[in-house]
Amino acid sequence: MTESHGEERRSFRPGKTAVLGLLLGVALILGYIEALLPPFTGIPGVKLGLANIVTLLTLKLYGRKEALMVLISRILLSGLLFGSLYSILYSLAGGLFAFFLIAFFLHYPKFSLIGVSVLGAIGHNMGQLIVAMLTVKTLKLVYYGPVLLISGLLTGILTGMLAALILKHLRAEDADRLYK
Amino acid sequence: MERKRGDLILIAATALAALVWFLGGRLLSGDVNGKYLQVSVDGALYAVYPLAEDRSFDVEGVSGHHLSVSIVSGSADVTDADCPDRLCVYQKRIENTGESIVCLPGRIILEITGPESLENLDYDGISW
Repeated sequence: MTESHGEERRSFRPGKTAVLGLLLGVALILGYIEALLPPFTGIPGVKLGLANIVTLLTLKLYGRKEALMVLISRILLSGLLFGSLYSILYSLAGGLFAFFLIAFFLHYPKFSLIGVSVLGAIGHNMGQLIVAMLTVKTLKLVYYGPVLLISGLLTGILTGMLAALILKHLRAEDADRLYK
Repeated sequence: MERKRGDLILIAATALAALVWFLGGRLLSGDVNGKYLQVSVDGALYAVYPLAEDRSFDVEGVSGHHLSVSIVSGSADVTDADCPDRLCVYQKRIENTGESIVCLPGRIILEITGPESLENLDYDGISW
């Protein structure tokens, strides 16, 4: 979080709201595009998690509060638009679990954005696995864990790299300039 | 691109955890206890056999069709049938919950029942 963060909080800045809305829109579209892609693995639950890029970007550009807002809005909206109550439940479980891991380790000096992203993806998958086990009331799903670990690892590396690439070209000052 | 030592450690640790988890699961899930081969003819339950015991038996379907079924080391297979096309004989062995072999002429359904399988889950396909 930047020094200017406290200052931002005090005054309402319509420009920032607009940029956050933009990020939310990007996250929704990424999630939608991903749903259109053919399931390339055939394993339920294995997805790229492109929308996670937006969470990472918002965290880096603004902060935890803003990123959490964008994340929850995204999950609720995409659930209402394309999914069901169950998909919202699954997504919230995974998303929040991932978010707290990411937010906690974001400034941990031993991890780059890739490591943080991997943590988030794994946290996401494990969160959903737990909810799935609670929903169907069986422990048999535990056997599904390794698949989710590996897929979280790979997709986490991918989204982390993409977010780092985008951030290289888009710094907080640039985002600020958008609404100054 | 920025990469740090912690990333590599995390990646290695995850891969290792997945491997251990997988191998552990393999050891534990090797048992076929709790799985059954359920045989139904024309919609009615015909017989149920535990998958854990090897056996061979005949099933008599409608219009006099016969199937020879064998259960060997935790999986079931149709070994012979007296219908002309013998499609059920060519279907692959079944061993996981939910898998089935169907003989249409005799209206015979062989199905594995038991602990839930992963495929039956209502997974979130949209906002994962």
